[in-house]
Amino acid sequence: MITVEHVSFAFPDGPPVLRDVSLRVRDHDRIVLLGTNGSGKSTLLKILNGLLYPTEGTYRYRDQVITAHTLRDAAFARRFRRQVVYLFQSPDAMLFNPTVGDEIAFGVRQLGLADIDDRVHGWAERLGIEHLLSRPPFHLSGGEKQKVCLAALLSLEPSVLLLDEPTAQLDPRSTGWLVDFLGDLEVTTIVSTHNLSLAAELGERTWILSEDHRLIFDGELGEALKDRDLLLQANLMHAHRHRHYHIHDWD
Amino acid sequence: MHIPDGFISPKVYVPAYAGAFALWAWGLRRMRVRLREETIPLLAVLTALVFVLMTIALPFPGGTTIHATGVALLAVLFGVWTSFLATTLVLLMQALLLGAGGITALPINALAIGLLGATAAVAGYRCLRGWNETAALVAAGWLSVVLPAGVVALTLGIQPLIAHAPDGTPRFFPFGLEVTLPAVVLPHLVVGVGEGLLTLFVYRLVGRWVRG
Amino acid sequence: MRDRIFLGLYLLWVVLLTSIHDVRFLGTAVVAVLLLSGRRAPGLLRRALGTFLWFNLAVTLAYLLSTLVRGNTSWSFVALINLRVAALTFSAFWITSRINILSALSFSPTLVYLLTIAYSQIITLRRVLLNSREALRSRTLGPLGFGDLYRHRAGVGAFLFGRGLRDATEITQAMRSRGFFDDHR
Repeated sequence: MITVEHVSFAFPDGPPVLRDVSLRVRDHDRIVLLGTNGSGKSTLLKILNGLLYPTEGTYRYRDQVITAHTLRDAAFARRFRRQVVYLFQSPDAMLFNPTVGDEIAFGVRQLGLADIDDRVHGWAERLGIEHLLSRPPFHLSGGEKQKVCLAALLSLEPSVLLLDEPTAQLDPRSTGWLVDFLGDLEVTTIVSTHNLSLAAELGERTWILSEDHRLIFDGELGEALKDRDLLLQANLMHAHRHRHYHIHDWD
Repeated sequence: MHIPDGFISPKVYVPAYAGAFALWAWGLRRMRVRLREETIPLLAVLTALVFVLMTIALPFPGGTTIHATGVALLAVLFGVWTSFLATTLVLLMQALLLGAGGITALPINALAIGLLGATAAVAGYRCLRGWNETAALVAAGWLSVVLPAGVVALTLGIQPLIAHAPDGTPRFFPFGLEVTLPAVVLPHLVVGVGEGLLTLFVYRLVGRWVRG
Repeated sequence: MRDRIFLGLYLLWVVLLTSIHDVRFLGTAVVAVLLLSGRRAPGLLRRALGTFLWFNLAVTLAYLLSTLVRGNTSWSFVALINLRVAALTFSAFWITSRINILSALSFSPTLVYLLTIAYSQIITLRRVLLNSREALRSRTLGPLGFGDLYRHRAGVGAFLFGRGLRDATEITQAMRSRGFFDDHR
């Protein structure tokens, strides 16, 4: 479904953010994108969402190369943006409609469907935010805002859901809720995180980006979590002087 | 420059609205041509920025504090139209969120501060930067405060002339230019210095990376 | 729809209040708005007075001083100007508490998006500002000189700028990601 071939990325006059990354995604994959801060996780996700374009290499979605040029085709852009959606790390960046209901309806309206209200209520209910529909999103809690964003994105019935560090700002209860919710979804998910203890609950496969911005692992998550040297190399784990290794839960 | 509603005659604020609407529409179109997609988010963010910057208190000799507007900074960094639209939105939000009211003064403040102030700032900056950039930035800030003060003084000062009862008693603001000009402009000559300094300092810190 | 109509009526009301120069009319208007606010009247009165009391007092006193000396005081003007300002300010407070501004402005989606994003950013940036103020307080051992204070303000201003611009880019990407710009092409 998705192929990334030898993709590199750097901002103009900037240092490399991704180096020679190649990977594939199949339908219904649940992938965890691991990497320390600055390794290029957000950038990779943005490339997958067609917000940034590779400076080298190609990104193909369902055999269509994604570039600024191909996305200029309005019909294709619509299809692509419906099928591949992105939950930004900061929900504030995503909210721009005056009420929660409007925010969810925004996506549904773009589909040109007739039963907008039903869909909005349906998704609000599934996310447990029906009581917030007429409220403006500004003063909601972080977890609530995130649910609003999820409802808005999922109402498009996408094929691929990209999530950028979704648990970074959440309290433990909301994190637990999110893990369960994502587990029940029938969508291909790619979740980025630097929290190893959560990783196992977010997917079966993993990609690990090194501090050097290269893909140093692509395979079973279970295997990766057992490979201490790999995790140390990727700065996902640290070693104390006590000479034993353990994983901390930091958030 | 918070003038409560009721001191300015519709003979002034209605045409001001008409003119302002035309300029807002024009300004938005110009911005869209230049910025395309980023127009709305950038304008909204700059509005928020100006709104919050206006709450920063700058200490002044004598134990008082003044508040800067950031209009000159915005104008020099992003252009006159961006500054005009952002200032208008700030005035709108202040009217809606803080002290409701000021709806009759809004077009005058928007045109005076957001358009004229911004234009004066950019003009002053461009004229002087060849000679001395520091002076240019301070001048930009100063002009962005003093000229609008003059316009507001003018607006208030002409009320007795244009809107009065047949027997000559005023109906709106009762004092003429001989009072309003010194009363409004003089204090702003001083406030302008604070604005100029703020413009200078913040520009030095952000200017290069914004324009790049 | 209802909010839009109310907004339109309010604007007409404003023009009316500034065009009818009759003390009885304005006095009635003031009373009417206060009555309409019912239980909220005392709060409305207090907050609204706060915005114009000093200015009006200053103008009124200055007017009285200058005209009593010349003997051409128009008491009806004094009543007129103060009642008009009161009527307008009370009305403004009343309308903003009664209608949903964003819904009233929905005839312009651009304006609604602008105000929504701006408001959201104001909350974010205000938090940053508050944190920086507290940080300064926690690091300051004694009174600071002007130089330090201005440098701090400028530093905060610059930080807010950077933060704001970065957020603008994120917001643009988020909107693009949701197809906002595809529709408006």
